[in-house]
Amino acid sequence: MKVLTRAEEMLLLSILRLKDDAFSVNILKEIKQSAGKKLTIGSLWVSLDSLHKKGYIDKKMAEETPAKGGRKKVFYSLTPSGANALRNTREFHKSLWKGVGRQLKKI
Amino acid sequence: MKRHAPPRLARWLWNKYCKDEEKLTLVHDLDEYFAEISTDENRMNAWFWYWKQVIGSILNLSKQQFFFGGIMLKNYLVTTLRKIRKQKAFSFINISGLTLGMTCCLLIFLWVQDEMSYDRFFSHSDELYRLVVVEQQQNRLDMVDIKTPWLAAEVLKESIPEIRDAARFHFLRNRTLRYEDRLFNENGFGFADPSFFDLFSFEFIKGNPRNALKDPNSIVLTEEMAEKYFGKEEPLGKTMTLDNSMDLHVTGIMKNILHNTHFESSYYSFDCLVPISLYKNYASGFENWGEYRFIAYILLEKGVDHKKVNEKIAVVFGEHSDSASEIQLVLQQVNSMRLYNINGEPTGMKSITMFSFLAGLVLLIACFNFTNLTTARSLSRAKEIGIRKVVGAKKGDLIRQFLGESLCFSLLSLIIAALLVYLFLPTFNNISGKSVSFTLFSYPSQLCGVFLIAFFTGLIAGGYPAFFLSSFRPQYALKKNFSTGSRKAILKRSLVIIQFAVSIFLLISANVSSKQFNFFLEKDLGFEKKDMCIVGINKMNVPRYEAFRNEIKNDPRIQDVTASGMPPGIGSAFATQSVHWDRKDPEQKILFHGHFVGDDFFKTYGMKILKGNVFSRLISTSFSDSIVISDSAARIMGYENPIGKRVNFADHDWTILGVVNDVHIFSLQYELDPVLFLYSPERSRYIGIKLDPETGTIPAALSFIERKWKEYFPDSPFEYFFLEDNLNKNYDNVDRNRQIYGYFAILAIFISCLGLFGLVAHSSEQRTKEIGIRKVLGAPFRSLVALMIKESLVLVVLANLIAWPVSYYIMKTWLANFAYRIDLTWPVFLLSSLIGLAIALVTIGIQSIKAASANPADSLRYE
Repeated sequence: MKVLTRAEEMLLLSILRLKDDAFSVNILKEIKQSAGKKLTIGSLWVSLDSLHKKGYIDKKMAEETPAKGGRKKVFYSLTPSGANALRNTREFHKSLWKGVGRQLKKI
Repeated sequence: MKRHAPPRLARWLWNKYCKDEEKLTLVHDLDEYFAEISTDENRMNAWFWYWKQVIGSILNLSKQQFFFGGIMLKNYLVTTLRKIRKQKAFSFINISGLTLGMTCCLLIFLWVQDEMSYDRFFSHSDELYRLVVVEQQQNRLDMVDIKTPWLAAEVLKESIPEIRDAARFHFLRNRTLRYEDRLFNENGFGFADPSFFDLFSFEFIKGNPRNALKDPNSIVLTEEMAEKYFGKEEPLGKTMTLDNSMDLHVTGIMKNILHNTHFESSYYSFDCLVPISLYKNYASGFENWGEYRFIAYILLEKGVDHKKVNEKIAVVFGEHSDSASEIQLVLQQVNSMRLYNINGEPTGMKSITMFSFLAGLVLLIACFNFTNLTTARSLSRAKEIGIRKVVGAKKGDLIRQFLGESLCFSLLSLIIAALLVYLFLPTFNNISGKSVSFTLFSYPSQLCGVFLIAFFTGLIAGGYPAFFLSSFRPQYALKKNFSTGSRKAILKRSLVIIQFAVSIFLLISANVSSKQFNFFLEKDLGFEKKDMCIVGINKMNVPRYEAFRNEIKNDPRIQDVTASGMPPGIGSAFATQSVHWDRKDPEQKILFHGHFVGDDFFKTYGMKILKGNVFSRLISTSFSDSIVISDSAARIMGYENPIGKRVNFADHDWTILGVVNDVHIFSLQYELDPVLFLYSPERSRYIGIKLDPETGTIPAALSFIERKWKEYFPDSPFEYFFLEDNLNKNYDNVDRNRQIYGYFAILAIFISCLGLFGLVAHSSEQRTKEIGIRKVLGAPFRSLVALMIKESLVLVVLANLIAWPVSYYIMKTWLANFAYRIDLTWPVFLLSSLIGLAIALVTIGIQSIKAASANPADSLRYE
C-alpha cells in the first residue's frame, strides 16, 4: 500500500478541494489557507511536476474564459491513482490513530 | 481598484527564465496574483512578495535542473577517474608532462608579473619622471648619467608650469648613526627634499609623510631600522646622532620598502632619509651647474606629454649650463624605467616576451603529448562512444565530455604544479635573482591568471581529441574491426616533429649562448683582469696615495700597484670627437676615449708597449704634453711611425709618446674604440693592485692592504672589488639566457620523450601480433628492433632539419647584439642534434627491444 508524504498529501488535497479551479496561484493560496505554509510558485511547480511523473495528477493546458482574461493556464486534476493514494493515506492515518485518541487526552 | 504593474526587472527575469510554454503560464499566474494583492496601501509588501516569489522560484527550479545535470556530470567524472586509474602509464605521462609545462609557465608568469609591477604602486606613478642626462647620438639618445645638477630640479619646477612638483635625492654609504648606546654603520643613507614623499607615496606607519622632512634636523626610518635602534620603544620624537656631530629627530616611520621598486636596487637603496639640506655638511661646491650629483624626480601635471616638457627643459637647461657641452636633460618615466630604455626600446621587455614565449612552447609540447596519446588511445574508447551515442548522447554532449576530461587533467596538473612551484620557488628566485612570492589567494589577478592557464591548456590539449572522438559513427565504432584510418597519423607525426624541433632548437640555443658566454669570459681584453684588486680612492686622499703605494708595493704578495681615473674595461674618463691631427679628413668624426693614468699603469695591467715609450719616471717627471695612444688610434691617424707626432684636442697640443696594444675599455658587447692615455696621477680615483696569484695568499694580501689602508686613510672605508668579477657582471644577461635556455631545453626534451615513449609503447602494443608473426617467420631480433625504431626516428631526424635553419636565424639575430661574437659553426648544431637524437633513441629503444623480445607464443595466442 502506497502512502503519501505530508507534502504530497497537502498538494493533492488542495487540488481536490479546488476542483475545476486548480491552477498554480490558487493552489498556492489554498495551501496558505489550509496549512499555513507559504510556498514560492517555483517550488510548487517542482512538486507538482514530480506528482505528475508519479501519475497522481493530470495536467491540462486550457484557456480561461474571456471574461477572466483569456490567458493560457495549466489546470491540475486528480487521476484515479491519485485519488486512490489519498484514500490509502486516509486509511493509514485512521489505523495509525486507532484507539489512541483517549490516551492522548489523559496526558 | 487601480491595477499595479509588477516590478519590471523581476518580471523580466521571470519571463526569461520560464522559456517553455508550460512554464510561461506561471508568468501570467504570478501577474494575476500580484494584481490581486497589490492595493494602494499594500504596494510595498506586494512588491517584496513578487521579488521573493521570483528569486525563490528560480532557485528552486534551477536546483532541480542541476540535480539532473549533476547525475550526468557525476558519470563523466567517474569515467574520467576510472580512465586515470585503468591506464596508469598513459595518465602518468599526460599528467607529469602537463605538470612540468605548467610549473614552468607558472614560474615564468610569476616572474613576468613581478617585472611588470615595478614602481607602479605609487599613487602618482603615471606622472612620475626621473631627470636623466643624455647625449644625442644620431637618431637616438645615449644615457650618460642619472645624476643632475643641484639647481636643475628647483629651476625647472619654477620655470615650467607643467611640472607640479620636484624632489632631489642623494645617498651616501657608510654613515654612522647612533641612538644612546646603539651605534651602527648605515649603508643606505638617503638625502631628499621635503617634497619627496609628495612624489613617492611610501606608506607611513607613524608620522605624517607630508611634513616628515620639513624640519632640517629630521630623519625618517624604515620599520626595520626603527626596530634595530629602538626595539619596542616609541621611536617618534627620539633624537639620533649622525656621524657623531648632528642631532636628528625621528619624525616618521615608513613601511619597509617593497622589493619591486627601483629604490631597492643596490644602487639606490636607502633605509633612512634625512633632508637634503644636511648634505652641505658633507660636501661643498656642488651648487654650480657643472656638478652632476643629484637624482632629480619630477612630477608632471596629469595628462601632460613629457616630450613637450622635454623641449621646455632643453631651453631652460641651455640658459644655465655651459653651452659647449652637447648633453641634455630629459625626462624618463619612473614606472617604465625597468623595462624600457631612454629611447623607448623594450630592453627588459624583450626578455619578458622571450621567456613567456618559451614557457608557452614547453606547455604546448605537453599539450601535444596529451593530444597525441588521447587520439592514439581512441580505439579503446570506441565502444564507450558508440554506446553513449546509441543511448542518445549528441555530438555536443560528447565534445563536452571529452573537453571536460582534458580540463580535469589540466586542473589536476595545475594542483600538482602549484605545489611544485611552492617547492621550487626558492631555487627559482636564486636563478632569477628575485624575491617573487606565490601568494595565490591574496592577488585575485594571480589566481585568475593561473586558472586561465589551466583552462586554455585543457582546451588546446583536449580540443582535437574531443572533436575527433565525438565524430565516431556508432554503427562502425561498435563493430569489432573498427579502425580510425590514417588521418590522425599525419597529425600525430607532425606534432611529434614540432615537439622535437622545439626541443632541438632550445638545445642549440642553450649551446650557442653558453659558448658565447665562455667566449666573453675568455676573450683577451688587451689587459690583465685576473687577480686585479681595485680600490676606490677619493679626491682628498690622492695626495697621500704615493706614500701608501710605496708602503704596500714592497710586500711580496703584491706584484704591482697603480692608480688611474678608471680601471680599464669599466669605462673611460672622457670621450671626445674633436681630436685633430695633421692629415685628418675634416668630415671624419671618430669617437676617442680618454684615460687618466698614473705611474706603472701599463705594467700593472699587463699591457704591451708596441712603439716608443710610456709614462715612466726614468724618462721624465712631467708629461703634461705627452700622450700614449692605443694601436687602433694609431691606425686611424694613419701614421707609419706615430712617435713624436702632434695631436690636438681639448684646446691643447699633445705629442705622441708611445703606442700600446688595443684595450676593450667597455664590455665586449660594444666595438673596440681608440683610446688616448693621459698622465694625470692627481685625477686618480681607483687604485689597481695586482696580486700574486699564488693560491692562499690573496686573503692575507687583502687583509694586509686593509690594515695599511686604515693607517693611511682612517676616515675612508676600504672598499674593493676584483676587476674580473666586475667585468663578468657585464655578461650576466648572457649567463641568464644560457641558464634559461638550458632549463627549458631539458624540460622540453624530457616532455617530448615522455610523449614519444607513450606513442611507441602504444604502437608496439598494437603491433604485438605483427611482430609475433614476423618472428615466427624468422625475422631476426635486430631487424625487428630496427623496424620499430625506424618509424619514430625518422620523425626526430625531420625535426632536426626544421630546427636547424630556424635556430640559425634566431641565434644569428641574437648574436648580432654583440660586437664580439662566436661564429655559428656546424659542430654546435650537430652536437645539439646528436644529444637530442641520442635521448630519443634511448627512449624508443627501450620500448622496441621490449616489444621485439616478446615471446611469439604469447603474442599470437588467441583465446
